[in-house]
Amino acid sequence: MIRSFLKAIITSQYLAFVLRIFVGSFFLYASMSKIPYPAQFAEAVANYRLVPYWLLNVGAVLLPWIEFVSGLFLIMGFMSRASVILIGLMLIMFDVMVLINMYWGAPITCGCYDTVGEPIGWRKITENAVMLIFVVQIYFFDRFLIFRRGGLTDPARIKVASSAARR
Amino acid sequence: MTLSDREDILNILARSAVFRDLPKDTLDAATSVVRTLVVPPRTIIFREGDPGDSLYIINKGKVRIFRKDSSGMEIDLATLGPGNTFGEMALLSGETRSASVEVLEEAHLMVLAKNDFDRILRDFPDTAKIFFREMRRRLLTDEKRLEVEAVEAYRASRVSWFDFVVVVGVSMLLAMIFNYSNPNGIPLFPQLPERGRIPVISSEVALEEVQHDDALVVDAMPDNFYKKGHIRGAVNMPLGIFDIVYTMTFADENKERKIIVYGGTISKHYDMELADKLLMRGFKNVSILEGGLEAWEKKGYPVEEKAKS
Repeated sequence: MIRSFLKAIITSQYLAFVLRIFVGSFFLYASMSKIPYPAQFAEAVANYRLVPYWLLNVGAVLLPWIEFVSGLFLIMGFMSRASVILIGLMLIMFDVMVLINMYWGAPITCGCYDTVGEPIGWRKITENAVMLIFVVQIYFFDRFLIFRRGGLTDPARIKVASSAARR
Repeated sequence: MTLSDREDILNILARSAVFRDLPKDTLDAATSVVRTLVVPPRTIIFREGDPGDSLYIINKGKVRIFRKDSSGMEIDLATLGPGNTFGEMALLSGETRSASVEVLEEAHLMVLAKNDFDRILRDFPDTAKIFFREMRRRLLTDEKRLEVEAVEAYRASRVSWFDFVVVVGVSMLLAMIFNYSNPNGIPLFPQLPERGRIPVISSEVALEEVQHDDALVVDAMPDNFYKKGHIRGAVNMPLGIFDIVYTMTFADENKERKIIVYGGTISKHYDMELADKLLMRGFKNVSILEGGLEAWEKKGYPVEEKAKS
């Protein structure tokens, strides 16, 4: 009883929709504080000492915009699968970068939302991990209010196989 | 029922997919027992799980056959129009309705009750064969559809590269345009100060110079790194606040004094950039410490950790 109730919630398309809005707006918010000040963001990324010199500025200019576009597309439900995968990859990347720097004991701040920022730590790792769980839920169960999910055919047209017992 | 009504019904039955192959006497028998029914749009005629009590033939209008999946989402199975029949499945199998039916456009229906249907089957046993044939045809259509859907579902489960290209492409385009027009924009590929313009010295030489020639060691890393650890006696001069630090502590410095700059990472060559700036301010004896703090520490030379700012 409780198990089936939990299952219904976890696999719910409405939950996926709520999470979609949440994760999407989170990324929009995160991107908007970085987009206007690429130099500061580049500095924050440089502090992680993981991105090679020649890639730093391109990354600092491009990454916030990928956050912005995939966040927006996710909320709109446009190419939402590709967007949610990109967001998932970014979350994994952030977590790996933070973990490595925690291992090094680097005295740096996150650079996630603004240049002052919170120091990196387990809190940040956990936040990203939870967000990653949301992303997985969205990837598998998001069906509600989708404009174009992605893939080669439009899944809205796909009717679940009904076999002979259709009437 | 007037004679012309009977004619009409007979004609409609004779045109419908299931009844058209039935012999004339069966049709006659059916004609005398069907009821006509007009149903307004958005009406549910029956729901999945209801007992199957009658068969419907559509004369006019449209209906939608659908089912709800476990999560409550409605899945359309078919849209039926004039000439189509629905509801015979439950009558033949004796089980409950396997799907729900909703009227889309005002539907003129003919209803054949279960008793009458059973009686026709009993009185005209050949009718059963025709129904079986119809069932088989549907089964084959469904199988074909199943195949197509399986392929489509497989394709949809994959994400196409095209989508990634679009998302990343749109981001790139916006990023370039915005960076170009943003007053705070940054060069995408910054120029490194020329290598070779600034002499590079090893830790040993640097130590020598610090001890004997009164060389000044400058840490170019951001101050949080400096605070964590730096060469003993080094002055911190982060690039971000170069001008402030310069005016406060460097302006009166002898331009001939030996200066050793260190501090660079994979992401930023702070040391080279700082050395370059110092050269431009007129300092003549600027050099860069090879390997930076790491090489220095490895040699066991003096460092300060967690110094007070």
